[in-house]
Amino acid sequence: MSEKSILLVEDNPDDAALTVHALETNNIGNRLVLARDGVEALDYLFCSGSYAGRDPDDRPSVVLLDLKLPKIDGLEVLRRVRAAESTRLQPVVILTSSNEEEDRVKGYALGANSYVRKPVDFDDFVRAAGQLGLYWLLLNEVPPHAG
Amino acid sequence: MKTVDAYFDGRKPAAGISLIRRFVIIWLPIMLVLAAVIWAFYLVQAKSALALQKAAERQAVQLAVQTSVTEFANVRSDLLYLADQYALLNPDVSAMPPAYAPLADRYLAFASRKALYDQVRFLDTNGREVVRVDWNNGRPASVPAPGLQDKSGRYYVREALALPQGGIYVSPLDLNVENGKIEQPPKPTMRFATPVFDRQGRKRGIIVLNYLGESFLGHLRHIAQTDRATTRIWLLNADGYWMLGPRPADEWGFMFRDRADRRLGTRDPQAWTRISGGTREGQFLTDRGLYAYATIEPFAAAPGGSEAGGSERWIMVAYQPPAVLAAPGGALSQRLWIVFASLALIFTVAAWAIAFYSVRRKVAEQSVRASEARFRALVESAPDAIVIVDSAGRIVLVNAQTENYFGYAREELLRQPVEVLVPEPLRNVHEGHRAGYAADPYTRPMGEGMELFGRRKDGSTFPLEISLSPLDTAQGKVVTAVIRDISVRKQAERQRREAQARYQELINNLPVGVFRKTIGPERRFLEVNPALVSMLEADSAEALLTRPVAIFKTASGEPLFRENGGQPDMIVNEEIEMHTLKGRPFCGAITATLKREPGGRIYYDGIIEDITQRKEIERQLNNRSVELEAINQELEAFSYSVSHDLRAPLRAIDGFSHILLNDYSDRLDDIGRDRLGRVRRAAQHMGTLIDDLLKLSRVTRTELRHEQVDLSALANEIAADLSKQAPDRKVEFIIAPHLVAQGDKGLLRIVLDNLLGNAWKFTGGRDDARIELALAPSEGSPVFIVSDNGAGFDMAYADKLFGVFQRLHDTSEFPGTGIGLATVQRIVHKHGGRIWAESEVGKGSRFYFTLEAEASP
Repeated sequence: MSEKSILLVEDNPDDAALTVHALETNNIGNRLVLARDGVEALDYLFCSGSYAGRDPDDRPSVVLLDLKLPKIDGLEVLRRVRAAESTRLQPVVILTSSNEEEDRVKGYALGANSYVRKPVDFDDFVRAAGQLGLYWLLLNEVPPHAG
Repeated sequence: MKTVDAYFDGRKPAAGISLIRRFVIIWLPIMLVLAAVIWAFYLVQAKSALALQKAAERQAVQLAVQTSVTEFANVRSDLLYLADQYALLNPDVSAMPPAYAPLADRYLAFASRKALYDQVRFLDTNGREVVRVDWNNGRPASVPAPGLQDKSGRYYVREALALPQGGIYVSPLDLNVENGKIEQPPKPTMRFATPVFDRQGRKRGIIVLNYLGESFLGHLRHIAQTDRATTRIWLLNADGYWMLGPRPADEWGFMFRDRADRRLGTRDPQAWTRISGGTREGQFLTDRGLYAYATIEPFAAAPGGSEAGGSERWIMVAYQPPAVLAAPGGALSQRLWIVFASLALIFTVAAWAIAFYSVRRKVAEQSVRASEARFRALVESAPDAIVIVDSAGRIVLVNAQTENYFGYAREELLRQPVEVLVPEPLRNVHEGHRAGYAADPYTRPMGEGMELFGRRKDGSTFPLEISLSPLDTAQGKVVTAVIRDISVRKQAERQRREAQARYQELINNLPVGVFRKTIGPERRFLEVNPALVSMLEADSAEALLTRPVAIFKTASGEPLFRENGGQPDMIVNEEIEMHTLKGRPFCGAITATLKREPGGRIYYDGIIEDITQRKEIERQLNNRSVELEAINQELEAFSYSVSHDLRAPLRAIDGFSHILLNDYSDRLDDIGRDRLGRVRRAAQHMGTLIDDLLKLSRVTRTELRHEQVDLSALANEIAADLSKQAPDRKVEFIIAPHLVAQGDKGLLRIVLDNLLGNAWKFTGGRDDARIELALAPSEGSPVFIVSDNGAGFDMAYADKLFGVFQRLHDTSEFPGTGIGLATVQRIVHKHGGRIWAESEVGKGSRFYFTLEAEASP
């Protein structure tokens, strides 16, 4: 069992930087992997493409998933994660700017573990990121790996 | 008339009863009087008959008494005469024996002539028979000496020998007894005896006469027979035994042992009591008959001599049995019955005839009166005015309707010329017409084909119809005019014509084509309106009506009005491509309904609308809505982008500003920090604006859900949230319980969020803040009210309250986007409700809203 890590799927480098900053501000120094689009995120999770050869047992404790992504959008990523046997139990938190009811409904319908809206106010954002990190990295027990 | 009578006269069956009643009224008294007269007559007759019978009885008794007196006076004189003969024939008293032979001769002659005595005897003083003459039933003979008997032992001999000269012994009347037996046939006998003296007065013997009672009884019977054979004469002894009785077997009861009870006393005790206990003579009536009686003692006081046994008392009775008594009455009543029956029959027939004719006359009178009354009622109740005019043109009869029509009282019209009812200008003409009619009277409607008018008393006129009929009456020729006021009908006709014209005009003016059209091979228009003529570009209506038209075809080329069967009853707004008569295509909408005439003809009534223009507009509209759809989708995408993409840069601006302020503040002076602070606030405000705008647009896009929403619960939640956000604020929430509305829970939450949030915000400056949710009193839909005691606003700007981005307060004092109330209004409107507000600066605001469409007043 390696160190607990976070997969952040975010195409906006500003948001990514802010997220990292927020996590750091909350003293969450765990490994953070950044995927800049849906394809990259899936490659990481399925150990394919540019991540082929990665240790399949090295699973992130939580995936922070933006919805609006280049190539493959966040909901599709979620669908595929849930569809694959190896990742169907992977904790996924949707972290998005959208507050559309439709997005929320779809996200939960596809099996999202949480839905968190990115606040514009950075103080709020820092608070949210801190709480997310604390919860998913420290409090939450990851499911046993299937297979 | 007969049938009409029968129809009207409900009392017809009562005529029979009335006849019988009348008959009884006449007949009964006659019968009673007749019966009374006959009965009285009967009573008088019966009474006089009884009186006659009574007199006859009394007479018979008198006669019988007289007869017995006479008879026995004769016997006595006979006896004394015979006694005297001895002295005459024996003048020499010393001669012995005396000369009996002459005596016997005399006795024989006497007995023969008298024929009254059974025996004539002379007995000497020793009681021996000396001379004896026997009657021998009509062959009298002297009995020779050997046949003479010694009778000295007999009681009558002894008693007679004891009598002085002139004394007479009389035995009771009884039956002769020979040798101790009653002689048969019975021989009623009386013995008379008297002593015989010689010249010197010496007693020489006695003379005995056996008197044949039959002679006396024969007299009595004769009396009975002469009295019209109705009266019976009885002879009774003092004990009531008959010596002459009703039947021979009843007689001599005292002589026979077996007849001891044959007496009047046992046969009619009542009569015997009257006879024996009463006066010597009398007359009475018992149940068993009419009796007259007299008691006689035939030998009681014979003058000049004493008699032995003279105490004999007889009762002479005349009797008539009830049968005989009733006989004259019976015959009388029979005769009277015949008289009564005959008279009754005659009177009955007469009474019946009188009753019959009297009833018939009465019925006839009634029927005449009734028919007259019916005629009057008929005339009076007639819905038409009836005026009867005599040959001189004068009114002789009018009915009630005439008074109504013409406004005259009946008296004002009678005997007036009929022309008073004619308008003045026509009077002269009318007289001429009347003369013409009189010359050629027949039943007809008057003034056919022309309008006639009547004149009312007030001079106004009215249209009318008249029928005339001539009538010959006892008073001469009259004419009956039946008049009908037709002003109502005329008016109705006029109204109908006007209505028709109006509808014609309506159809002519309609901007749509109106038609009536047959189907089948001829396919003709029957009716078209001008709009249709111009729509089809025909030269005239005739151009459409005079030839078959085939212009109704559906898009697929089928005829719209099918030729053979299957015709739809209704065609509604069928849109088809059509051509005008000149060939120009246009689009028509047809609505038509099928009519089937009773004769079998089928046609359609319908309208055609030229919808070419409308179709064009529709097409354009259609295009526009496609465009709108696209725009909407773009907007959707735009909203999504705004929500997602616009926020990211804001977050970056705010985030990095924050990092700069936190991590690099030592490299910035105060002004730099202030500027960065402003950057952050602007970014955050824009974030709020974006959120609010998204909410507003979401309200527009959201499909409304209807459910029961507990507004009180929602408000309490919101109040708790607000209080939590600012725990140091002191705000009193007064939320009425159980406020329930129908609506979309999410949207209603936004409404309350905004209204309560505003109230919260605008009471920020107050320590005694009070926010209230309540139900305002109202009559229709529930009106909710959210009120506060906050800053309020100037009602002058109330119209801007619900506009987007409209704010009535300084942002620095009360921050906001100006979108909240616009959103609230949109939600309320979406629910069909209404929102309005009242306020005053510094005194708080009241927001009213409803959530359902109010019933339109």
